[in-house]
Amino acid sequence: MRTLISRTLWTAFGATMLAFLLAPTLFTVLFSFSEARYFSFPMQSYSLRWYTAFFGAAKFQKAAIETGLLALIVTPGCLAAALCTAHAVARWEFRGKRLVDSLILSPLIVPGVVTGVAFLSLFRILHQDIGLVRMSIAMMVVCLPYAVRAVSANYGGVDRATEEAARDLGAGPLLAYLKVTLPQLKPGLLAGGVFVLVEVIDNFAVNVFLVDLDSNTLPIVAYQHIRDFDDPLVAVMSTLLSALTLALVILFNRVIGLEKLSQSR
Amino acid sequence: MRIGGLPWLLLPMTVLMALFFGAFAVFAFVSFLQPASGMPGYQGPFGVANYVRFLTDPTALGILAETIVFAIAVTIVSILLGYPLAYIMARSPHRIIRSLLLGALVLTFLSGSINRAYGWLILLGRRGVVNDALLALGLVDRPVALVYNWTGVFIALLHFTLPYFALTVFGSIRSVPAQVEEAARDLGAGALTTFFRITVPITVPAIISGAALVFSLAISAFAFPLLLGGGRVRLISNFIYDQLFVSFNLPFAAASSTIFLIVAVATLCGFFWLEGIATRRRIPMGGLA
Amino acid sequence: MPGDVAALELAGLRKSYGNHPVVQEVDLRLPRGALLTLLGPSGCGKSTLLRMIAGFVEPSAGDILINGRSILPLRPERRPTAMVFQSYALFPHMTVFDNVAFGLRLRATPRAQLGDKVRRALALVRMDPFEARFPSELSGGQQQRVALARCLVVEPEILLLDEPFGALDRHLREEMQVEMRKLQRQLGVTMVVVTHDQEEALVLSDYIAVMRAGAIEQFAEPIELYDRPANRFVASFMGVSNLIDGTLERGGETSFRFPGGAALAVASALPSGPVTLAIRPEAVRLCALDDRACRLAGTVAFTSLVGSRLSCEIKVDDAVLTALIPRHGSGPVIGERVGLAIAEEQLQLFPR
Repeated sequence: MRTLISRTLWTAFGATMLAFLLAPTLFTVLFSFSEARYFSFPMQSYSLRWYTAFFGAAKFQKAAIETGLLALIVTPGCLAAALCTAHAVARWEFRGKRLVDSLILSPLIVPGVVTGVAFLSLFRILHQDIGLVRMSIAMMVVCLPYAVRAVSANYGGVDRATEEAARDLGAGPLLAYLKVTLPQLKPGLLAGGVFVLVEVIDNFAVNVFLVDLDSNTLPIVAYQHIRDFDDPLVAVMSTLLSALTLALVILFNRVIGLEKLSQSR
Repeated sequence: MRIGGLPWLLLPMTVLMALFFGAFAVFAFVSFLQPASGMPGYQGPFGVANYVRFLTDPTALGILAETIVFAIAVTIVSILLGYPLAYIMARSPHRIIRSLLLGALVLTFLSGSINRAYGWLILLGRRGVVNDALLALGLVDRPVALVYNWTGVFIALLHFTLPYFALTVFGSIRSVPAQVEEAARDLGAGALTTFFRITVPITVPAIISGAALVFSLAISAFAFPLLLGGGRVRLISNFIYDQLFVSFNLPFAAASSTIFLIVAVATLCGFFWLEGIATRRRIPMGGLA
Repeated sequence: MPGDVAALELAGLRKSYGNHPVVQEVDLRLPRGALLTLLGPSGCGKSTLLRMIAGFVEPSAGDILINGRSILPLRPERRPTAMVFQSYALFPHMTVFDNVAFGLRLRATPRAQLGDKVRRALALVRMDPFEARFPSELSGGQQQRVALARCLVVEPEILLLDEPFGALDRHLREEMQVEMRKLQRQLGVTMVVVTHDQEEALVLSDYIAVMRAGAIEQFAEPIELYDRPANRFVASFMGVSNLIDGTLERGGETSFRFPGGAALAVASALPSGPVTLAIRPEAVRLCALDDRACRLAGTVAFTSLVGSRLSCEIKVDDAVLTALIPRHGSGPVIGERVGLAIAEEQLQLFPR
């Protein structure tokens, strides 16, 4: 009897949490297919008119391109920097290694708005006015800890002897790295890449200080739209981004397994 | 292999960190200047006027205090809801339940903050699903104000921080060998006693680091109060944003940010200190990481 | 071997990190087709020595020659050596086939020959049915065979093995040792094996080099090493568990005096003074006190069963000798006075 009650309580709790976690996304997706401008539940009729409107809206188009460009610059750049750093920390002996370890993580503990204001001050002095450049640099810094942590965790699990075995069997240092070590780092690079990509697409607190007059990222345009209009256009944007996230999660689960994700963060 | 004493592979990281700390150097410098009239620029004289202004302004101090109290509340509720959630994910005998919750958490964790704030606007608004449900059930006779106040910001922020906490603790609970819990049961402890006397204490370091994470996310909350606070709920991040984009006062924004940064880092150090104590007090056990 | 060119020659090889010497003055010559074991406790420099031969550690002084040619200028990938790592170091992202083919592909082996060679190497270690598996799908013993095949396929001049059986359980280890020895004989490949297990060294080797603190204490064939350890350290490492510190006295007849007084007549060329008496437990027999073979008397302090034999601790004054005796009847009783017969030729004295 007691176990039955406790089991029921646990199940009810789990179900409530599941609903709590998924409700905002689910209802946003539902709203994006609405015919009406205002939300009501259950919905009267469904349509794709807001999707047509979204893809026709110049400001969302521009923002999507800007965000895409930013992701294309920052994700590979950040991963490359992280790979270099993780390799040096994992494989080389040098003084100040612990300092490097903690320096890397410092952008994590600084509140986003503070980082934004700090970079804004810096770019004022450097007379750097191009939003994309400003955001690229700031995002590289903000995302570096995620990428380094993911890649470093992976480095720890790679048997150094495999690279030596490759050398021993006749591969030069570069070939041994490319053929044996790098492929083993794929999970870490993928995990790091997902984190960086998500952060770049989503960041609001830092980028809101760094955009210029004619470059806005998706979250910033979405914020302005929500502030000024009341229609499901942002629901459409959210739905599309959620689909992208879902695709990333599925890809991740295929390649590495979801449980690893929580470990590398 | 080395340039100027540093391994050359650290060059990219060094450049990025130099930009980061350079930004903070400029920013700290600006915080001692005064705004230039008109455009958001700055000028002399050099002095601590901005700091004095923040520390003597009841509004500013009030917002800082409210932010801290609010972040503490979010942290406590995140622990209370997140721990059992992580426990179910780690220990449920049903694979489907485990993967469903984990999938939902990861998905939530990776979905954007603006998206989610928007989702909560739909759910909690006057014509939102929650109010519809409450009216239909006859629990209230007029829509309740759930957004544009602290309640809405709290719910959305909790939704944002919960995955961080649950995922941090999840790994730790999973690494507690099932035999340790079985040993406690075997020695006569009930399920609840085992949970509170064995599982929870072993995972204390993870709870503290998860709490530190949640606290630092909550204290820096910006988008949620902006969208769901309706101008009535202002946390310190919003205050700084307003100084810049409403008052065009970069020096004062910089000084406020500096004070905020000091408070944030100090609290985090407190958390790390606690975590250090908790980790040292723990008896080393095979398989516990 | 004199006059012949050694397959492997180490000449005055040294390695130190800062002021800390890890390998000091190692000289040895190994004929082609022989199996040498570097035997010693952990930290004795045996792995460093192996890694110097492979090219992963640069010697501080000395030379390494393979077939009479110095290989020191060569980088690891150019050396005619192949190594089986302690962790096996199989490439986790490649199948068994690709692991074995790795070295061949780097040598630009024609596609037609590649498959043949890989399969032949896998067949040699009886892993041919597993070529499509990934390393994570293999047991420890299977992984080790693949690591071995991966090295054999590139036909190295010298095959290096770092604690090759360390990760295997006891039963499998013994099986693999015999198999490895047979394979080595069959292929006639020169091998250097690093181990800390003296039984393993005895099973495998043509030559054993016992190392301590970076230096070779004794270089000999297994039988000689077993019967005539060169010093106390080697004796102890080779399982001579009776090592008793006493004094050599030269009066009318030469005798070893136990701590506490008992004397044992011995033949020795050593000068009188403090010495260590070394004898294997198997070489100590129990006998009646009035037996003519009786050389010493003692009291049984403890007995325990070791398979078909009985291990007895006999207190001789202040010293304790262990005797490993065949088990028959009820055996000696604790507290019983017994006589000890010791085979003279199996007894050794080392100066202290």
